[in-house]
Formats: sequence, structure tokens, C-alpha cells
Amino acid sequence: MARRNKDSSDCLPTISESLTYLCTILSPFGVTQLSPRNLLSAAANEPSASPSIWSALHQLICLQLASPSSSKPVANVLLCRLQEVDRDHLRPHDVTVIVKFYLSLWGFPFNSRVFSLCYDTGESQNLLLPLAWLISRCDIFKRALDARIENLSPRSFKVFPFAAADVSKTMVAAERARQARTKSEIYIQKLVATSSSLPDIGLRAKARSQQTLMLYGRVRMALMALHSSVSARAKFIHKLNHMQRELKIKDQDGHAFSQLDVHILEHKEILDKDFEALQAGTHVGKEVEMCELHEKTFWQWMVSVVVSRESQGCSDQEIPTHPERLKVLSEFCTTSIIPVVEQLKHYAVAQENLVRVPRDPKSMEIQVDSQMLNLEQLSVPVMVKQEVPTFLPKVLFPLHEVKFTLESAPTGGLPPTADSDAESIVERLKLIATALVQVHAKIRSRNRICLEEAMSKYTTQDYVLHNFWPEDSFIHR
Amino acid sequence: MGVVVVQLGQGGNQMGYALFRCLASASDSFPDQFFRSSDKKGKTKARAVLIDMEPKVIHGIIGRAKSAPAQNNRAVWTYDARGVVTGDSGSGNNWACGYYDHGPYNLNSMLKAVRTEVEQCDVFGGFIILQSMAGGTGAGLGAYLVEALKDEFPSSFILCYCIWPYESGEVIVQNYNVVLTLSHLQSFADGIIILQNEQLSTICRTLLSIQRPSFDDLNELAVQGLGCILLPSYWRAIETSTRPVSRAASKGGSESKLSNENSGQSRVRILSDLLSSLCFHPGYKVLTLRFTPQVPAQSLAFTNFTWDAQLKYLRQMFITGAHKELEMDWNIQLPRSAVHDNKQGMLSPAVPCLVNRSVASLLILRGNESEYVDVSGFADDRLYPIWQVDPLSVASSSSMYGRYELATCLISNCQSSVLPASRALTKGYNMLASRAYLHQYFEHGMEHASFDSAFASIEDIVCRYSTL
Repeated sequence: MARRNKDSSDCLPTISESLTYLCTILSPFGVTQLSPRNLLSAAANEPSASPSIWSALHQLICLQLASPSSSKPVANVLLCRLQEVDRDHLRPHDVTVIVKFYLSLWGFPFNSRVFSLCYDTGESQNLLLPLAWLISRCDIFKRALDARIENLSPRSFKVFPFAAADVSKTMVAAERARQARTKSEIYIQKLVATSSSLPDIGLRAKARSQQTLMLYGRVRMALMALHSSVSARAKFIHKLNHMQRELKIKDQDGHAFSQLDVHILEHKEILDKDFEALQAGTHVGKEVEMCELHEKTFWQWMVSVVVSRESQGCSDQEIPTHPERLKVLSEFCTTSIIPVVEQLKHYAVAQENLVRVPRDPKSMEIQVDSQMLNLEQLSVPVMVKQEVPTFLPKVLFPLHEVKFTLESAPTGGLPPTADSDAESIVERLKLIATALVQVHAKIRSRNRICLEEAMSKYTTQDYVLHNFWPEDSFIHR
Repeated sequence: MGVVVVQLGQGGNQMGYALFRCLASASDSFPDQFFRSSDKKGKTKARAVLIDMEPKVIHGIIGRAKSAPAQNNRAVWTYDARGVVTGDSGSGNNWACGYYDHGPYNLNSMLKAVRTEVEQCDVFGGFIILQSMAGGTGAGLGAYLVEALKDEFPSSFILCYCIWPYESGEVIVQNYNVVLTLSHLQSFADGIIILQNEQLSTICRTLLSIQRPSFDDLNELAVQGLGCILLPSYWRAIETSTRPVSRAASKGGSESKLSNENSGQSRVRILSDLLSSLCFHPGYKVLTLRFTPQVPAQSLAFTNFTWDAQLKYLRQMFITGAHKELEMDWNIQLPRSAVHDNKQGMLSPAVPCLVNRSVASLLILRGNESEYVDVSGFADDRLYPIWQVDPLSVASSSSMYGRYELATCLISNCQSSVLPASRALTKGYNMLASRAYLHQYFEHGMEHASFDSAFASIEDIVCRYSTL
């Protein structure tokens, strides 16, 4: 049901108009199965909308994988990337697995319901959130806008001649002035040479006195001619102003055209082209404005969907335990698509020109794996007191930044020896969190995109607290 | 660029009328430097101011202009009535009357008429003053007006086209008048072209088969050279590339389609370029015109004109200081040695061989293939002083000049220009020594010191030219 935004001052379009706009702009990007009806049905939690939403999610993921920033439409590129799946038969299960995998890889909240939904789920409303998240991540609105205004982009403005047509011959005048200057210089040189060649000093002096008088006369006459030209110019300007007044050439506001206006009007073809450019610019502006309005409406609608969802009591699922998470991860990793590590390797190779990637990506993988393993082992309660000091260096060893952090810690670089278990646990958690942050930063600087995404879930507070909090600790959240 | 022609006195007005007739008939269209369209009725009007203390001559030429038949299928041109300034009584050939009485009395009306005409010009190029030097209005009033114009328009060029009287004596006090006029013009004008009645009359009688030339005949001859200079032309180099395969000169002027404008040459700006190339030295402002061919109208159809022949005659005229094509002294040749070692100038008193030396020259060629003609003979260093560089300027136009297929005009700042002044100075000194007719000048407020300074100025001019 279309609902109009109540803020009349912005003149926002209706929700159906915005959803139609969204579907229109998604279509060139290969998202062809989405329609405003599907979106509205999904908001109403109708099961019939689920397949189209899953397809849209899948298409958006393909788009992001194929060309993260291009505004050009892409085909189902992921089909080309599948190495072990029959390309002609993409099963619904495959679609859901792909979607869930990349959502988790790219940092979509892991406790979202989408990860437990099937292809024909009846909770289609829960699919709208990842859809919106992907739309935001893929910057769909901006890409679509760029594609739409690409052909409308205003042509560069043609520069008007710097002077009116009758004065544009100053190019000729400038050339003649240059010639006159050159001629004068040559003339002076000749004069000097002529008088210098005279053998008699008296003759030379007489000659130069006459030449001086000659030059004075020439300069005087040149100044007289220049004065005449300046007077003529002033006269022409006055005449032009008078003609304009007589003809009563006025603009829309009743003001007489200035000489600049007349000059511009004199070059009608340039004026027409500039008008075309202005019109193109106006169209671009309208497209931008329309896109912004539709985007605003879309997000407002999404907020209403979220509010509606919460009011219905739907909530994200409980944060799974560590084993459960690992189980889910392993399920992902056992699919026929590229496993996590291989995916990370693929990204690292692809980004080789942009970031400093170790020559042997395997070393980075091993480092990541070992660090994760060490972190996991730290979560074992028996390790809290005796083995933390020995384990900490294993975690922190390769990283100079972490060493610095360790040294600057209140404990002065030594493992914490707290008076109480609580204190030691807190200190230990501080160090672990610090180490994780530093690891994250270091890995980010080396493999910016892919590993950041991969490690992001491990650096959240929830993850740390839920995975490394000793079960027997008397400190509870 | 508009040029305002100021016609002063009887001689100036008659010559002005002849000049505008020449300009209107010699070109395909009215040159916009000298003619303008009247806004109201679309008539073509001359950019002219007519000044005379007697209305008779002015009314006569205005009437003649109105009643003249259309030429070359073009509408007639007229004078603008706002540019006429007349008085009730003439100057009586009294230079002081014109300078001290009529000048100040009519100054406002004269300047108003001039300003009106100047304002009609989009780009004002300067003044051409047409005057005689023997009378009262043209000479005295003319001298006063030139001073006033220089004050009013200090950055405008002023070229004076002056009629030198018959040396036999049109006016008894003409020697005083020419000296006084020339001295004032030397101070305030930018260029002075001297045109001798004597020479015009001789050319009419000996070359044009006009035994008793009228004023119209003389005026028509007088403005031939000036018209050749003032019509549009384009600068060209002295030495040019190889001439294309020679073609017979066409009378219709269709070859003028090979336009100088299309070849990218710059146009000669009347007065500014003219005077800048000739009168750049403040001490040398007196100019002379020489025009060829000098052929009677009835003989034009039977005469074969060639550039080589015309330039040959013109060059010899230049060297000898003659103004006639014929009866020149071909024995006068340029010295073999370098100029500064063997200076033989026209004004050197002890040397019988007379070579006319020049400060600078401007040669204008009009006619078919004029841009390819070799004119290097006029740039010979022996014709110019040792301190001069690039003394010759050349302009051309492929269009015919009136009825002439080929026409040349040489305007030079040379020694022959001041020959008449030298003779007038001598005669004037004789009269001054006997204080003849000075009372006519003193009674109008003129003082003896004015004569002294004028004579000294002319002496200075003559002396300066003699040292070329």
C-alpha cells in the first residue's frame, strides 16, 4: 500500500514510486526478479516474496564481486566463477548458501535471522534487511545515478571569444603590433649601425642627432595615432550604448542589455550550445534530486519495516556459542564453493597491486590461523593463570606494535600479576583485546579489504567476551 | 577612418571641389574617408568645411556640386550646409587681416563647423587644409585656423596642401604672405605640400595641350597627385617576388579583383601613415608631389603605358627636382662615390650639378601588377642623407586610377620643396629692407618682430634642407 511521506515540504515521492524507481535502477544491474509488489509483499512477510528476494540478494552479491564500483550492468558473473557447480543449474540451496556466505564474509551481523532461513522461507521480511544492507554496500543508488546521467552529462561550455566580432580582429592587430615592434627594433638597429659606420666623429654626432630627432618625431606621431584609436573606441562604445537605448533592447527584468550581453548574443551558436549544456546540467540536477528523494523514501520505508518487525516481536537469534559458530563456519567451508581461506587468498592475489601482500600468501594464512588458534586456546579456563604468560608472547610476538602496547601497559611489559582473579582476568582481557586490535590493524594494512572483512567478526566485543570469557569467572556481564 | 577637408579661401575652395570630384570619379565607390552618407535622405556628402570671407565662391561650388551630373551611375555628392562658414567682406590679400581680424572673429563658427564634421567621423584621421599662400583668407586665416585646430585637436594630424603663387606676381605682397604662412605652418602643421602654380601652368601648356589653362584645368591637374595619394592603397615591399607572366593591362579594372585585401597586406592609413613615413623629422615638413603620366585626355587611348617607362621618367624627375615628364635634364645623374664623401645637393651654391636630395619618399603605384614592380631605383642611398635608414616607402593598388591604366605618384620630402621658399625669401628680404607695404600689416596689429621671426624660420628651413 502506497504511503505518502507526511513531510510535504520535501515533496517526497510515494513509497510505491520509490520502490518502482529502485526496481528500475536495479534492472540494468541484472537484478531483474525484483518488483515493487515483491518488496511490499516481503514487508508483509508473505512467503511468495522470498524467492525473488533471495534472487535479488544473489544478483547483488554477483554485482559486487564482479565490479565493485562499476556503474555498468553485469550479468550473473558468479556463475562464471563457480568451479564445481553446474553453471546451468543453480539450485535454490546454492543461492542461499552463496548469499549467507558472502553476507557473513562481508560483515553482516552474524546473529541475523537470514542465516537460518531457507529459500522458501515464510519470514520474507527478514530478507529485506540484508537486501537493504547490500543495496547500501553496493552503493546501488549512486551507481544507478551515474549510469543515468552518464549520457546526460553536460558538455563542456564553449568559451566565448574574448572580444566582440569586430574587435576579434585584435588577433590580426596583435600580429601587426608584433610586426611593428619587430620592425621598430630592426629599424633602431639599422640606425645605430648606420651612424656607427661613419668614420668621422663629427659626422657620427651629427647623424645621431638627426636620428634622435627622427625617432622623436616617429614616437610623437605614433602617440597621435594611438590617441585617435582610443578616441574612436570610446566613440564606438558610446554609439553602441546609444543604439541599445534606442532599440530598447531589454531583458526580462526590463534592464537594457549590456555590451557583454550584446556580445554574447552576437555569438548565437555558442550561446545555443551553452544553453544545451545548461539544459543537460538541469536534467542531471533533476536526476540527482529525484534519486535522492527516492533513496530517502526507500530508507524511510526500510525503517518502518524494521519498526514493524520489532513490534511483531521478531528478534535476531541468540548469539551462538563458539562451537556452534565453528560448526556453522565449517558448514560454509564444506560447500562446493570456494572455502574461506581460498577466498581470502583469491582476494589477496587480486589486490596485489594495491596493497603490500606478502609474496607467499600462505604465510599470512598460517599466521592468521595460528593466531586464531592461540586465541582460542586462551579461552580455555585452565590456561588462565599458568599458561597465559607463555601464550601471550606467541600471540603477540610477530607484531612490533603489539609489543609496544605490551611494554606500555600498566604492568610494564610483564604478564599481569593481579591481586585477584578478577583483576588478572581484566588485565588479560585488556591485553587480548589490545592484541586483537593490533593484529587487526596490521592485517588491515597488509590485506586491506579481504582480511579486514574476514577478521572483523573476530574483533567485536561480543565475540571476545563470548569466546574468551572463562566460564568459571565470577565476573559476569 | 574619416578625414576632414578644410577648404580655405577662393583657391582652397575651388581646389577642394576639384579634389572631391576627382576622388568620387576615380574610384568604384565613394571613399568613406572623404564622403559620408547623410542619415536623413541617404545623400552622399563630402567631409568638408568650406571657409571663405566672401560667399560668392562657396555658393558657386555648392551649386556646381548639386547640379553636377551623376558619374559612373552613382548618385551625386554634395556639401553639408552646416560646414559652410562665410563672411561679408574678404581679406583683400592682406595676410594680417586674415590672421588678426577674420581669424579671431570667426573662430567659434569655424570650430563649430569643424567639430560638427569631426563628430561625423567614426575614426577621425585628421585634417587636410586646402589653401593658397598668396592671399589673405587662405594664407592669413588659414595660418590662424591651423593654430586653432592644433589647440583644439592636439592629437590630430594636419596636412596642408598649399598653392604657391606664380612667381611673376599674382599679389604684390605675396612674398610676405608665403613667408608668413609657411613659417606658421611649419610650427603647427604636421606636413606641408607645396604646389606651384607655375609648374601646373607649364604642364598644362606643354604636356596637356591646354594653351590657356583655366582655374578648373589647373585645379584638376593640381588634385591629380593628391587624389592618387588619398585613395586606398596598401603597403608593399620595395623588392618583391617575381612578377607572374605579364598580362596586357586591362582597361576595365577587372584585374583588380586580385585584391590587396585578400593578400593580407595592411592598408595605408591616410594622414597617420602618410605623415609618419614622410614628416617624422620635426625640422623637415615640406613635401612635393610628382605625378605621372602627364598625358592629355585625348591621347590616353593611343598611349601604351608600361611601368618601366613611367618609373624611369618619375625617377629622373625625382633626381632633377623637375615636375614635368618631358624636358628634364638627363645629364644629371647620381654621383658615383658615396654620398657623404661627395655631397652634391640641389641647394649647394657652388655646385652646378643639381641632385635633388630627400629626407624620405613615398611612392604610390596604381594599376595592374603594381605590387610586382621593381622600385629599388628610388631607394638609392645617394638620394638620401647619410643618417637616414629605410627612406623609401611604397604602396600600391591594383585598381586603375580614374582614366589612367597605370599611375604613379611620388611624394617626397626633398630639397626641391623649398626652392620656391628660398626664392620668395630672397625677394621678401628685399621688400622688407625697403619696408614696402608693411603698413598694411601693422594696421591690423602685426609687429615687425613677426616678420623677423617668420623670415628667420624660413631661413632655418632652407638652411636645413640645404644640408641634406
